[in-house]
Amino acid sequence: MAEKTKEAARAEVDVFTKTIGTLREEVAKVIVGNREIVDGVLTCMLAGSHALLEGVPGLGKTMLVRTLAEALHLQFSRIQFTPDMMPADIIGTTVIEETEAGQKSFSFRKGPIFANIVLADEVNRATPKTQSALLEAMQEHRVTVAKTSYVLDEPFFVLATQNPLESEGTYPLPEAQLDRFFFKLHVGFPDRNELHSILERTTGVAMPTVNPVLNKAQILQMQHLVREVPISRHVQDYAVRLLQATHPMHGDSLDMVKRFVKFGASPRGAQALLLAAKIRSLFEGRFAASIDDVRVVALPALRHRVLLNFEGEAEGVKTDDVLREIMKHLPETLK
Amino acid sequence: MNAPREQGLARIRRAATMVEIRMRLGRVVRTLPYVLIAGFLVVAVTVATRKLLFTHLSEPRARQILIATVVAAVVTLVIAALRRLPPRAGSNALDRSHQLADRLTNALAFSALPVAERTPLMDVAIEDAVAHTSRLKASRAAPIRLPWELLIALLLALPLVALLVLEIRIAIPVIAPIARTIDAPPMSPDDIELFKEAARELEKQNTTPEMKAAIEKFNQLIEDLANKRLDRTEAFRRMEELERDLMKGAEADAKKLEEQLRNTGMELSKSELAKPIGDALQKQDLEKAKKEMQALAEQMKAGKKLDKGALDRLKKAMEDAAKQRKESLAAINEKRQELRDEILKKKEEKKKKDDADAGAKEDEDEEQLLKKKERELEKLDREAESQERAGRQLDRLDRDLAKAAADLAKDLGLSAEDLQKAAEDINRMQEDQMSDKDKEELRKRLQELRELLRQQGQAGKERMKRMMKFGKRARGQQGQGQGQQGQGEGKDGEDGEDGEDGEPKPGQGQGQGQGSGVTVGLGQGAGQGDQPGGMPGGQPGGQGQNGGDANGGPPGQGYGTGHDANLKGDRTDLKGQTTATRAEAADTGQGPSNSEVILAAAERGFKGGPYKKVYKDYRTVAEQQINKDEIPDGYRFYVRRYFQLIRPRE
Repeated sequence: MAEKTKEAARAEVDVFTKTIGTLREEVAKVIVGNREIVDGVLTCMLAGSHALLEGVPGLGKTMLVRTLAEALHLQFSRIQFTPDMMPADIIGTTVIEETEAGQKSFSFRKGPIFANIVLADEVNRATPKTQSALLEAMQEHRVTVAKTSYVLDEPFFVLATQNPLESEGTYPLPEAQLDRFFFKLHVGFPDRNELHSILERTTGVAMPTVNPVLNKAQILQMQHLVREVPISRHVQDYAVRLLQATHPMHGDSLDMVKRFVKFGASPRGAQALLLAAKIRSLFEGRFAASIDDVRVVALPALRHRVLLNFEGEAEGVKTDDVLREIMKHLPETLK
Repeated sequence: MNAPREQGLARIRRAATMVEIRMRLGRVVRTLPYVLIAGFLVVAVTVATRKLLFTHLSEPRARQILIATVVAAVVTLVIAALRRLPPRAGSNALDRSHQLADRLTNALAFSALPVAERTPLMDVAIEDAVAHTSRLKASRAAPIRLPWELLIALLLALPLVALLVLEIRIAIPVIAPIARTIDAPPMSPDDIELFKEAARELEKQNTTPEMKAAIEKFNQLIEDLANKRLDRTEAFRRMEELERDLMKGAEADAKKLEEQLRNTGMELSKSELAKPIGDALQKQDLEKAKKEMQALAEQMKAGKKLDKGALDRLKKAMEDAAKQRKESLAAINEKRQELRDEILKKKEEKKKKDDADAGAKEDEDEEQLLKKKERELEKLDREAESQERAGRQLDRLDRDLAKAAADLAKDLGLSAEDLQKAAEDINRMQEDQMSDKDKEELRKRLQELRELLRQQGQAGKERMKRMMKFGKRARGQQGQGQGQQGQGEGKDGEDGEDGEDGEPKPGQGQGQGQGSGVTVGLGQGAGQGDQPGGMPGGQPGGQGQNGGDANGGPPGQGYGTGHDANLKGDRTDLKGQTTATRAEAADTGQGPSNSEVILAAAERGFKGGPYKKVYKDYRTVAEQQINKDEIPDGYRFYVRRYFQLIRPRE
């Protein structure tokens, strides 16, 4: 029985790895480069959580999410956040309906949040009230309107984007809300070859089409498999020590952390680290997470969870620099 | 089924263990250069010290250092090897070196879990790790590279080897056996000088060879003490020896001798012819007695007509003088014999009583009485012995006096010769007496020296330090005082002379005196008054500038009426025929007062003419008091020592 289960587990991992490979290929038909971003988004999805994409306009953030939605064969909705947007514009609203018999009744009109993949474009342009409505749904996977709760369909996956350049008329997400995002991914500018490819693909007559690779059930199964990936103590210990090292008050923290960091990452950050490490090990076809996996996912998992102090901000220090410095000095095993 | 997996796990464990061993070995190799460098330096210093400064480092000690260095090096390396490694360091290193993404470490961690707790994915992970064990290499995971510092250590070893091979020939100085340190009793130079001076004084007075020898010995003793050639024990032994020598010649009881001479004098005084002799003997003036005896002998030899009665009385006086001591001694001996007999009798009675009845109260009284008698007898014995000792010295005088008395009846010339011999006897006795006094004096010095050594032995170095400090101050080597003795300024001289034709009023005068001697300068002031009837306020006279011996005049009785003939113009106008005169003060040698001199000496040292004078005066008085008054010997010594310490230094 155990032997059989073992084989099944091995098979599941193999399927997972192959499926992810196929998915990557499909996305790559439309999205040029950005392998890390694609993997990051997939990681968030498989972890059952959400991603925050940050990048200047025109880098294909929205395109990426749309392509992914097509490849996943999931219901997709896009919300363009604006300052005058109200929570009801996202969640939905109750309207009076009149039947043919002339009878009137209230009925709930679902908002764009009722989808499997939600693209919250320029999320920092909405007011905090509206942002809160979205973030509540992200956390609880349900919305409540007029004392009635509506459970969101699984998988529920929000991809929020924000523009780092424009700060006027924006409402930066507070730290507590940033913490709800599994990853914060920086969308980088494509290099010359990638730009050529982008232009070739987008300026011709033929537009690339994406075939659905995964359905809901498969995604849920994969999410389940992720949770089953074992993690040994030394890897978990590394994640814990890495998280502790981001805290300036911690005894072993670096001078740089003590100088520039105001608050370190929350325990949710450690959860993100381990889950992401597991997913990465599966991406690589391995059966257990390693310290290297933790290291690789550390930046997107922790960069939005570490809060710099005034000096850090003034000095132009990036949280990525702090995290890289920590990983550089953090021993793999406790001496 | 599980066998390959277990084998694979075993391979992983072995490989991990091997890696850990190599890691420990690598630590040793990395530590080795530092240990070698430190060790080589210690060895080099030790060997160099042993070869060049061998007196500072004995061979056993050098061996100990070398052994300790080797042990320390070994211990350091062992510590480096045995220091704890991080958990799963071996498998971790294998994972890193073989890029296995923690497969091996995870596999070991999962395999350590109970089977029930393992998930299928854990088993798969273990199998996955086992599948990667075929190409594991411990050397790749933990490479051992020789550190470049090892080269430095080896380079250091070369001069060390050269140093070890190098033979340095150094003539080993023959260390002379260390002489036993003499713990010389401390004596200050002042004390040494005190005793030397005492010896010099005794030397001046004596001419007898015996005394000279004793003084020489004393001088030698002082010299040896000054040069620290004697320890305390030897010093005391030498003093005792010298004192014993001095005691040998002082057997005669001087007091008893004086007493008997006085008795002889009393007998001789009964004759008017021998009265001067007798008086002189009674006063212990042997010199005078000798001269008087010689004068009487000359008188008799010259055949001067002498009164027969007087001669008879002289004869009787001389006979009595010759006999009285024998009679006195006979009386003492008789009394001694009586007492002895009585004591014997008492003892016999007591013995009988003791046999008959023991413990009666009466016996105690008799016992006490017997003891009293015995003490009385002892006293008489001592007196008789003393008298006999004195008698031995007076025997010749007695014989000569007896012979002179006998010859007096026959021939005056013969008797005169006998008296001349008696005079010589007195002369001899005088010399002996003087010698005894000097011996006694020397003995006292010895006692003082002993007392001084005893005291200084108690206080030790601290006392000597104080003495040296005092000596320095006494020589004026300390302090900033300058020899300004004898300088003073007198400001007296406020007396004016009587004015002429004026109302009696004390005149005013002013004088100043300056001189090198401390004297009171007194000026003379001449009162003046140019108004008939006398103007008040006789002006002060001139300034007395003679300090040394200027004397102020007596106070004036009134203001003056005249004026100086040399003065012209207004009374207040001083443009007269004045002559500037400079008068030097003359040093009269009187100097400052005693107290000033003493104060100055205390500050600047015991030197200078005035101090010498004051010291001499005080010392004279002190010596007189010492000789005159009944001052115990010990205190005399302190007074002498005090004056020795404060003596003038030049």
